Amino acid sequence: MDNEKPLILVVDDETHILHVVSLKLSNAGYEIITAEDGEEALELALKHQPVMVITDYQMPFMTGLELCIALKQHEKTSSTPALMLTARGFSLPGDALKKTNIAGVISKPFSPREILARVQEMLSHQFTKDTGESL
Amino acid sequence: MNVSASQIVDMTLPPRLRDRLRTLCVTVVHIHEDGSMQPQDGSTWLERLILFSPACVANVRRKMDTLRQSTGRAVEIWPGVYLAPLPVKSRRRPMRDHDQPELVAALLLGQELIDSDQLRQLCDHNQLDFLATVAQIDKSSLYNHTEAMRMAEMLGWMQEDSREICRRTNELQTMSRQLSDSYEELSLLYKLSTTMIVAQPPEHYLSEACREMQQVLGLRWLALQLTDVEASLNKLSGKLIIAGPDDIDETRLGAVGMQLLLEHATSTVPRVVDDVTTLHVRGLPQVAHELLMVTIMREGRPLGILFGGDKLDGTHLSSVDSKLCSSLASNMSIFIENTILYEDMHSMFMGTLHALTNSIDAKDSYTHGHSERVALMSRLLAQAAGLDPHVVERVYIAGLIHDVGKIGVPEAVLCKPGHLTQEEFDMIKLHPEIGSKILQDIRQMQDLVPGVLYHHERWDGRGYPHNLRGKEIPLFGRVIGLADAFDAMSSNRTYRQALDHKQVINEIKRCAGSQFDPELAQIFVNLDFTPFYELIQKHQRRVLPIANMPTIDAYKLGGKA
Repeated sequence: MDNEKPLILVVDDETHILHVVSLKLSNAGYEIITAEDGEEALELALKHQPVMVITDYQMPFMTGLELCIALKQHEKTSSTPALMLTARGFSLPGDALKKTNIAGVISKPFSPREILARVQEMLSHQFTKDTGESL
Repeated sequence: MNVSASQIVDMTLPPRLRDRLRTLCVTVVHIHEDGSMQPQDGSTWLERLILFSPACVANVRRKMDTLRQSTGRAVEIWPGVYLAPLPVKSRRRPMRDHDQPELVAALLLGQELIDSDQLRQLCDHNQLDFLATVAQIDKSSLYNHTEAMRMAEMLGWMQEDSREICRRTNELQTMSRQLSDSYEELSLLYKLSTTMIVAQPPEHYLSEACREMQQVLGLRWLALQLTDVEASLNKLSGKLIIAGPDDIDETRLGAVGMQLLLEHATSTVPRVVDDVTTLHVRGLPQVAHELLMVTIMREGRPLGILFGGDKLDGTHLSSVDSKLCSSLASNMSIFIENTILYEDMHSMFMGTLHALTNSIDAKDSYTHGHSERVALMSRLLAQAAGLDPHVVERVYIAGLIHDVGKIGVPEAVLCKPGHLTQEEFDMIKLHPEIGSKILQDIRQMQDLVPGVLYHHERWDGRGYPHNLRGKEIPLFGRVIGLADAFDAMSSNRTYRQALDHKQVINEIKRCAGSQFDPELAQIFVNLDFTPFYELIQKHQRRVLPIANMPTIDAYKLGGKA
């Protein structure tokens, strides 16, 4: 059964955020991999193809937005949904958002409970969408 | 087995280390107080042969003290048979369990074993052929003495390091959990502070806050019972707000809340009650086993009590829960305090406005209730025109006070029977400007001034005081002007009967584009006028007919105004 746990990639340059999010999600039965910058995240995403990506916006080397744009451009991750964490009051450029699969934005400081709820909601949508297509 | 999980963990190796030892082909042995030994998985036939031999066990029993003190060093039990005790955490255990090993050690076999008398005797004892046995031993896997000592030391380090990693991982998990709780709290407080908008119905904030809190804490239900003995609570008095499942017994919770409020609302320090039966509150044991409660105080008197029952995940209520609850309670008390102040201020403001309006109407008694009706129609028109609710409310207030300037017009002129001279009429025409001057220094009424100043302007520019035309006339002026003219034509005056409603509407349609903003007029004629006629009836019941009625009608359509 362990192999069937949905894999989620969590990206943030602040490790304490990684720990908080990972703990919450792994307690809820998800498999978590983490990366500390966009470049590392892209490599991991292409290698492991997680069911979704949760990423911070402002990170060194490659921002969360650049990561999401790159994810959409790669065939393997072109439909992987993303959840973006941003500093409160930070708005994302709308035209750039269209080039990504960002399905939700959560402001920091966030409620871990809310992240879990959003992940569950997004994945259930994904699931129904997938099964809908295969029928 | 009266041993808790943590004690068992103490005596076993971290899984990582166990895997590594297996890779190194090192067998782990549990050693008991009596010298008996149990090889853990991966042991060889030779190892088992040695470990289970009574002679070896007896030897180990004799050397127990040395073994206990030899962590990280190899102790030679027999020639070429080494036991290297691994450092296990020595926590004092309240209860010794005899199934638990006394020591955990690595078993290392050395080259000296081959030539030892002990191996020979072991073979004899087990009726094995010594030479055949020796032939089966893989000599290359045997250590020399120095190697065994080094290996023992390294295994000791490895064990210590693994344990340290384990400890830190646990610590990290605990801290992440605490951090997660702090995040939850921070985000809750942020949400609460952004939803603390006094202009909304106060129940809205209070129930949002309860719901949010119930979910963050994972409580089965959370309720807020407000007291019914504080007059200042106004509409909130005695209110019960519940966050929880739909089928919850509201009547029972309300009764419980009231009793808690009477008997247990003593301090703002939150209280966790592990066993609700100790509180002796009727009905409480039926809705919760554990209870969290905190009183909301104002000026030393309880305003209400916040109380929640049972964690959904079956855990116990914790200090984190009570801390969060106490943050929420102080937040709520600030909010309720603000609500009380806001409502006080608002009712004082509206009371003052009505007093002002009544005093205008009293002075000019034949237009009794005029201001209120103009305010009503202005509001209906503003609403129908799709204005923002806040603006609609301001239009209403502007309507109420649009004639405030009449205070500055001599009563002799206002109430003069018969026709007015040009001079007298000019005095009446001053009232918009007088009104705007009265209001100009009240900061909170600045937005109302255009409604007062320009309600006699006309769309074609033939109005007063500034002869503005079209959209130059501020919206408030155009809205109130229309409502004002409508009321002047529709209501009974003591000197004449009201025009028939149809006539009034036709008149407004006729004057759309000359006197009135055509767009507003179009919307106006389609309004529902029921509230207006109800108000007229109410006003007529209150006013007595006045003898010697004046014949002035300054507002008469198409008149000099």
